[in-house]
Amino acid sequence: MARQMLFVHWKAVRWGLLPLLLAAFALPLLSVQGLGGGGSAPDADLFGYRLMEMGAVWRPVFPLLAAAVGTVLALSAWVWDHHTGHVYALSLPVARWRYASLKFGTGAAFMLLPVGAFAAGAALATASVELPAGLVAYPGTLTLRFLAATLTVYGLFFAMASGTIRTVAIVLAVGIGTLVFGNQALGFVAQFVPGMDAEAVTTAVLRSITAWPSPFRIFTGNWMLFDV
Amino acid sequence: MCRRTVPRAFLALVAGLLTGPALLTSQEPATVEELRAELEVLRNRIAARRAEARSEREAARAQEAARSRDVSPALVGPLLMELPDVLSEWLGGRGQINRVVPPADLLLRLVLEPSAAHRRCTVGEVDACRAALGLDTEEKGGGASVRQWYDPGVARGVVWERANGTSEWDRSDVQACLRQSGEPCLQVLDRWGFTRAAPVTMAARASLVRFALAEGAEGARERMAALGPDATLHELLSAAARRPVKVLAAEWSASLRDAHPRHGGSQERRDRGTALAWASLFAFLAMTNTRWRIGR
Repeated sequence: MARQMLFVHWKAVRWGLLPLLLAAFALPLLSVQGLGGGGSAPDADLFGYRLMEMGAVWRPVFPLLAAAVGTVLALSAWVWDHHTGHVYALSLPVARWRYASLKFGTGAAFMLLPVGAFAAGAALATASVELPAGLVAYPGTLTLRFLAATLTVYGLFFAMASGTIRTVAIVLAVGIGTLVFGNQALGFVAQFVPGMDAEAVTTAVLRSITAWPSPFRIFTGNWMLFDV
Repeated sequence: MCRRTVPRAFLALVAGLLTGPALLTSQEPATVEELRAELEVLRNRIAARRAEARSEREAARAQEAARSRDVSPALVGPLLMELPDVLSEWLGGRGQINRVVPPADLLLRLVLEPSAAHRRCTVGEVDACRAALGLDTEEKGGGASVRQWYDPGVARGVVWERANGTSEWDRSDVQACLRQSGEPCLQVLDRWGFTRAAPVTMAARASLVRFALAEGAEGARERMAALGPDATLHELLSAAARRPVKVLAAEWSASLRDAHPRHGGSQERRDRGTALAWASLFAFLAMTNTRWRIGR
């Protein structure tokens, strides 16, 4: 049954996963583009610190990619069930928990593809540059962080998508709406509530989202491929 | 009934206490030895776990301490008025001591500098720190030389980057630098006053002075004032921190590294473990959802 689940999940996810697979391999390499060979430009000797500048530019892309991989894998795990009204799952003589755990396992197995591509890209990027004194490459640690972040988002959306697509849509809309309009909404409310400090509330909320033990803490840590 | 039960339980307890040790001592000596050996193994394990936990706690404390190793604001206020001229000149002005850059950020900015001295300072090379901060000269106000910071190739790159797209590009000395590299480029950087202009150096100097004052704690200002107006930069910093400048520079560099979140450290492992725990919880929630929600 696990093999069939793998097949079904693969059919649902393959086209969505392909660009992410390429991105996972290419992004670490893009973060060192034009730095390894030295080149003939007069500023070629400055690549040591340019490396860190490039790393800082590309750093936000890595957690976003992890979130995208996790989301695509989780939503594709349940897409067939929602399309067919769960007929396929209900016709099987299998408990719900076993069915869900098989689905979770197949998604986690497919996760190894982009994570492996990311590891290969990070290793190649590291090998392609000569690091100056003071800098160390962390391809392994960064890959583990990428895996943990992907797994978190995958788990979150897998749990939501196991209910209904409507649940996912509502939670996503509330989350994005809070991020985009939350600050303005708080400012508006603060006008009518005496003593309310909208900025302090925003800071407290942001801190609770990004601080340990929030599930999103993994996205706010050190995502540098090269660091001191 | 209750009255009769309580004395019985009490008697049983007393009997157990009396016979327990007797039973233990009546066992074969080999068994006792084995028990002792097992106990010793357990003790060793507990000690190892405690040591591991202690080292993690100490690492976290070191990071926190590095963040808090700064001079108190109460000291900076009066210090602005009493800052010796040599020191204020070295900092680029009296108010410069208030340019506070968090140690973790300062470390990254030092690494980003094209100067090899700045970068080597971040890995704890004291001589590099002295060169980067301009602590090496015997002048009263200290001073740094672009020759200590850049080798000719890097100097050319710095000139190329700074002059590109500006009116400086057409100047003859800049063009000579771009053609020949080497000494002409260092002369251009000298003309630009580059050792003064590099903002990270001034921020690093302010950080070092604040660190010296924090380490020297009570009486730091008084010790500097007691040296009089002819004191050199080295003497002032040594007096403030109560240690040689070389040691001070090494400790300051280490404090910057301690404040930077490390890859693969206990915090990183905790974050990964937490992420795994959350993923497991989400998976569990998905598995325990008993409704199939058909047609929605």
